[in-house]
Amino acid sequence: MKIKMSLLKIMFRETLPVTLITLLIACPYALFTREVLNWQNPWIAIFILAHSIAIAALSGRYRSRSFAFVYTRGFTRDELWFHKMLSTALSILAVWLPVSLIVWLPVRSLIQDKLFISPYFPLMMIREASVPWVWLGGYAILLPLFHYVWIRRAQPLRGENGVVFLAVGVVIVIATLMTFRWHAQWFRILIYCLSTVMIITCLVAGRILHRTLEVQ
Amino acid sequence: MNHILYGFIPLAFIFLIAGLISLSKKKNRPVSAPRTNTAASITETIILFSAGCIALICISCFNNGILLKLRELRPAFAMTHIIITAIAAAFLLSAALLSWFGRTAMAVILMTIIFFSYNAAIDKAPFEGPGYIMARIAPKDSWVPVVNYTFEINNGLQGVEVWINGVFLGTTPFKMTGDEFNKKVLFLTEPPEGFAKAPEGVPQENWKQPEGNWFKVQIVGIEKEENISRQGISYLSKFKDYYAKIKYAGEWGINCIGTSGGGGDFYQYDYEVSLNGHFSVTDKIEQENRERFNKLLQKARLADYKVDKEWLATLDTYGERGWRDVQKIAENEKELSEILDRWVKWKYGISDDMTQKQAGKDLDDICHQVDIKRDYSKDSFEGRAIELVYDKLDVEYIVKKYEKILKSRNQRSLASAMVLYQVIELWDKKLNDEEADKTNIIEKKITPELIKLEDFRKAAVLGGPEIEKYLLRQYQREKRIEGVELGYRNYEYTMGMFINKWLYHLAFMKSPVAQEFQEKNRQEIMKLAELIINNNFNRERNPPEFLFYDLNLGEKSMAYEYWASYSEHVESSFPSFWWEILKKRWDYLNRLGSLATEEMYVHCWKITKRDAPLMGGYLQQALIVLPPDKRKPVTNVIVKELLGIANKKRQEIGLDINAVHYFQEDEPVDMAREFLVKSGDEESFQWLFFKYGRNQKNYLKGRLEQNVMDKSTPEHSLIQILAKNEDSELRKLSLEAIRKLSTAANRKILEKLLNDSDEQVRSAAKQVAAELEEIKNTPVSELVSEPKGN
Repeated sequence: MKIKMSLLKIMFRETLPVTLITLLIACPYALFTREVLNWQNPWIAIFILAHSIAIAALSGRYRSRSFAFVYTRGFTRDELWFHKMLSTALSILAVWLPVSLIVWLPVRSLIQDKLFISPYFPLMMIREASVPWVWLGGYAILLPLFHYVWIRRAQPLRGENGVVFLAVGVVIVIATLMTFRWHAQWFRILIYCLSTVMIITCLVAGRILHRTLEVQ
Repeated sequence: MNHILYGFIPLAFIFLIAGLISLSKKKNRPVSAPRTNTAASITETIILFSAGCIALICISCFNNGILLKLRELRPAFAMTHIIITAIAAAFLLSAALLSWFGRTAMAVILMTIIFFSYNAAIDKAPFEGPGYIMARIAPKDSWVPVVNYTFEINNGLQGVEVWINGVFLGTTPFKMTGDEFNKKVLFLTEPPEGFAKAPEGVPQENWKQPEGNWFKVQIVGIEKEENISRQGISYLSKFKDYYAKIKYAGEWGINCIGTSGGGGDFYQYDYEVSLNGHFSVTDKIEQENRERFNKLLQKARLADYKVDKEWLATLDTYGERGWRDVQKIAENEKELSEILDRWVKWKYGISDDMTQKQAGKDLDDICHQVDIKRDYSKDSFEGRAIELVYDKLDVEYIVKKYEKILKSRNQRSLASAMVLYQVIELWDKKLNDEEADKTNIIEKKITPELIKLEDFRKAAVLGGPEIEKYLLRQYQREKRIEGVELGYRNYEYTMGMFINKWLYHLAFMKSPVAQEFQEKNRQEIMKLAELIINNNFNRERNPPEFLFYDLNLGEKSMAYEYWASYSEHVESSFPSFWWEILKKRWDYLNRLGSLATEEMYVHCWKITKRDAPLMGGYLQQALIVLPPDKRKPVTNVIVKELLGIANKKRQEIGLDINAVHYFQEDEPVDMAREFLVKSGDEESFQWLFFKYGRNQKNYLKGRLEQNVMDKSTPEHSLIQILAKNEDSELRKLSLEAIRKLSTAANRKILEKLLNDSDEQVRSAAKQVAAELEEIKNTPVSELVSEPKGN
């Protein structure tokens, strides 16, 4: 499928305010927070959740005029879905990549080391290096699910609220898993497998259902 | 942090709902609209089932759940858990089915209710009480923890019959469950017939000398206890008195003792009951083994410690006990230390030209052995092997291996991790000795990993710029010396105090940077030392090592300045006997090295309040602490003072101070003199000999005999003095010592005594020489240790 830059731009523009706001929050936080970043950091988890909800909410305003406008310009549903996913990925990258670079390049470490005279840096720089991948994993689980939620709700089907409950349930399960400091190796592998299944299912089903969503 | 984390769940919930509400505008679908289609059904079912599976596993295996510990539970309790989990799983499948038919909302609600109920049902299952649902579901008492006992004899002797409270339980080693034990053995509040009652006025529980073959043993078990705060019942480990007897080869054990211990979690407790006693059969074997062992060592001495592989193989048959015994003797006989090293080298094939591969294999073998034993100490056979082999290993290989262990949660707790840490520590020392100003590979790679694991003690021992920077910066953030308000991140809970962790580790570190810190923060370090010493949890008043780091500053050093305070604090130390207090003071002065003068040692003697009777034996215990160069002058001052006291008493009761007779007050004086004799002081010997030699020779001989006969390695200096003495009885006594310690120096004395002017001495010397010759000619194969039992 060919990437249509104008369509991508329109879709990316939809989430731009959120992208800019989150960028303004995330970068200073990554630079100045004195705690060593880890995958259990609750503030970052809340941030990723809020960011994912915001992106899904802005991308999935299927009752809005702008949505109807784009969906009546002759693009196929699959093209629209693909560009929505691509713009979502770009929106995430626009925030995730600068923050990750702050962590990976010794910017955060330098600031913490030289400015705040932190005892943890540059010592903990290596340990923090893996954390951005966990954030990306969080986005990878939540965003396909939230996109699926709005796509499902836009279907000419009943039971549209069930999927909201389902999303809430998944978030609660993830939050519960975060409260455990350590998981057994076999359980971690199981979580990776089930998460992959969930992501693929949400993406495939989202694409299929997107073909039949109602635009008003 | 945790409260934020727990708060995250509802907060996340609120966010999610808020976000989703913004998505939705109320729109009613027509009733005729289908509930779902295939894609939605499959997707929602998969998501619900996946999330449900994770939640179910979380609850059943990791939180309150014990599905992974079923083997530890009683079968009925395990079955109850399996059934409840199966019900929860069935409901999860039902929820998935509901979702399949388009009732996702209902499915999620059902699943949430089920999981909450399931979690509540298994919550703290081992407790009884109104709040604990499991106690109502599971068969009665099935939740009582399982107790397993292992009965064994301390030295591993097999086939010993064990009787507890008059009931035969089995022959060692044997295992039994707590239920079996309680069923077989009735608890007795009174000792059984045949067990001696305490004499009148002595509480029965303090009476430890039963008649016959009985002995009291405290066996740990579990007992129900009401847990008021949790409104239920807990099971706690408790010791109870039992009365035991042990029998081996038809003979009851004598002088027996027994202990028990162990532990477990809510569900299973494993206890070991160790019993020990004497049996004539095993005692005889033990005695013969001891004789063979002594002969083996004598053979080494007669060969001037040049032993062959066969000799080493024979020593090896004595195992760990042999290692410990030789180690102990080697404290006074340095040549044996070399033999210990040869033993280790022979066992592991350690040589100067060994390859890295061979050294690596040795390391792997040692790691494997200690993991099986689950025990490792630097003083052990394996510990010495590590000291001898470490520098043959590739440091980079070791660093990588240890890094891997530090990163692995499971391997960190193994005994082999301690082995590798010792290798790392030895290598670090070696590299620091070679290039002190360079940061070595261990400080670069291992220290940071230890800091990440918050193992600051080990990190501080290895040192390096990373740990120095880390500790200094942490200390810059938090400078308070003590107090619970420091917070768990900043305090080190030691000796009942919350001490600033950063200051504590910086104080113990040895490096130029740490030294600079210690100089700059001298007052804080001194205060820390004061807190550690003058502390109820440190009743021995042991001074911390860091107090002695700056002795190079002489009288301005911390330890020197602190001496007066220490001397004062030690007055309230434990044990509170005067000789213990004196020993502590002298120990401290010993650590001051050249800064401690003779006058300071004498002053200690003078200020120590000797409120208990001045027994010579106790005085000797204290005098041993004196450094060799201070022994004679300090002891002489003490002798002079004690003589003055004795003479004063003599005068008080009208005795002649020059008369030689037994006088009780002379005893500490004699003991002090005797101490000097043992140190090779001929003057003191002459003094004693003059005093007792003529009229009370037997008394003197008795005292000297004690020093020769009761010791496995009598001092060479004493043997020399005895051998030179004009009295033939004492010369003969020196032969007894030579019989035990046939070193080259002592054999020279023997040669002289073979030509002694006294016939009796010559004859005794010939006998000793013949005995030694016999030992020399005994094949080592006859000196192999025999196992005690079958």
